[in-house]
Amino acid sequence: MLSNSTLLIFCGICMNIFFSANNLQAAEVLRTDPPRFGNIDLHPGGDVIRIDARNGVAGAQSIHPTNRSIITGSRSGLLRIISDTNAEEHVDIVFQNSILLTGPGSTINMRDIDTYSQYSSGGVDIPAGGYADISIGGEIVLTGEESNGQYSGNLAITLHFQ
Amino acid sequence: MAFKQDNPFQGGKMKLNGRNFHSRYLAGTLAAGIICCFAVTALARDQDLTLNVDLDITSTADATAFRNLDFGVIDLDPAGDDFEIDSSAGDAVSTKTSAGTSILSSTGNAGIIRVVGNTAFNITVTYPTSVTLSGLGSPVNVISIASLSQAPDSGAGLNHTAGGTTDIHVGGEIQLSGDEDGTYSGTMAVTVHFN
Repeated sequence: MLSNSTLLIFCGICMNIFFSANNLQAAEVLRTDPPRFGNIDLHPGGDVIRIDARNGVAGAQSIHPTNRSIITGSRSGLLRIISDTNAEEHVDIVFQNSILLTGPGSTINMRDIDTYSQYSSGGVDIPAGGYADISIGGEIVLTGEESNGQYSGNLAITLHFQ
Repeated sequence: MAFKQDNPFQGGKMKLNGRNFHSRYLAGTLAAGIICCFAVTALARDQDLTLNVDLDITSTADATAFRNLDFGVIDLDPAGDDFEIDSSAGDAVSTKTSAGTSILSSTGNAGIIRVVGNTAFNITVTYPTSVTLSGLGSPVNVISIASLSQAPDSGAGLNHTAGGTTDIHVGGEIQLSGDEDGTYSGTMAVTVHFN
């Protein structure tokens, strides 16, 4: 019959392996930068302004052929995920597809976030001991009636590490 | 450390430091522990993030009433006369359009709506059909405003250059019966459309 002390020793070994194994899933988010549409001198007839980050870092642009609004200080958002293990780790990314930005007297809809962000379909592999940058975009529709001022809102993102 | 001759993986007994223990239990526990550990390493995990998104809107497009429409000072023929300011092509002054003997001692000026903005856009204006001016005598109506002003909304409008200033000139016509006297004034409401 196995002694009690020996049984405890094996349980202890198992638990140590358990904690070590859990530490192998060590990919983590090192940096988060939200997407910024910057300062918009809005065309009085309205505009649609897009950050197309499907291929990486991007700024905001009017989709109108003549770029009718003047935009400064914009940039796509960024998630940097690092891994300090010796194994590649896969991450699926789920973006909240639309959010409301509230400001002086009105709201602005930011939409198609997953459409204009990187790796929203299929996820990304974090190389062993390396990192991956995920750029975040989206689009806002402006009527031209918006009051001057700052608009803001919260964007939720879920990472599925596998 | 002393061991008996039995093979530990065939259910024999082992003695370690003077203690006996059964190898079948040892193998089973070790296997269970290994299975448990490999099962643990296969679990996925989720992480939720919240990012704050913001933007600033500072639209510089703006329209102001820069100059009033002024038909001038009229020494009026007692039989009456008609006057107009035709600013459909730009700035203009008051002119007599009828055959009476009235004299314009001051020719007045067209009104101006001044538009500014850093972006380029087209401008049209919705003018009222008429405006009533009140004074000491009978009221005076200003008519034909849209046809005698720039950028009426029935037309192509004016194009504003990015960063520039665009003046939209406003005119009209008055038909005086001869009963009018003194200073007349009124308010004209227009709607400027940025396109």
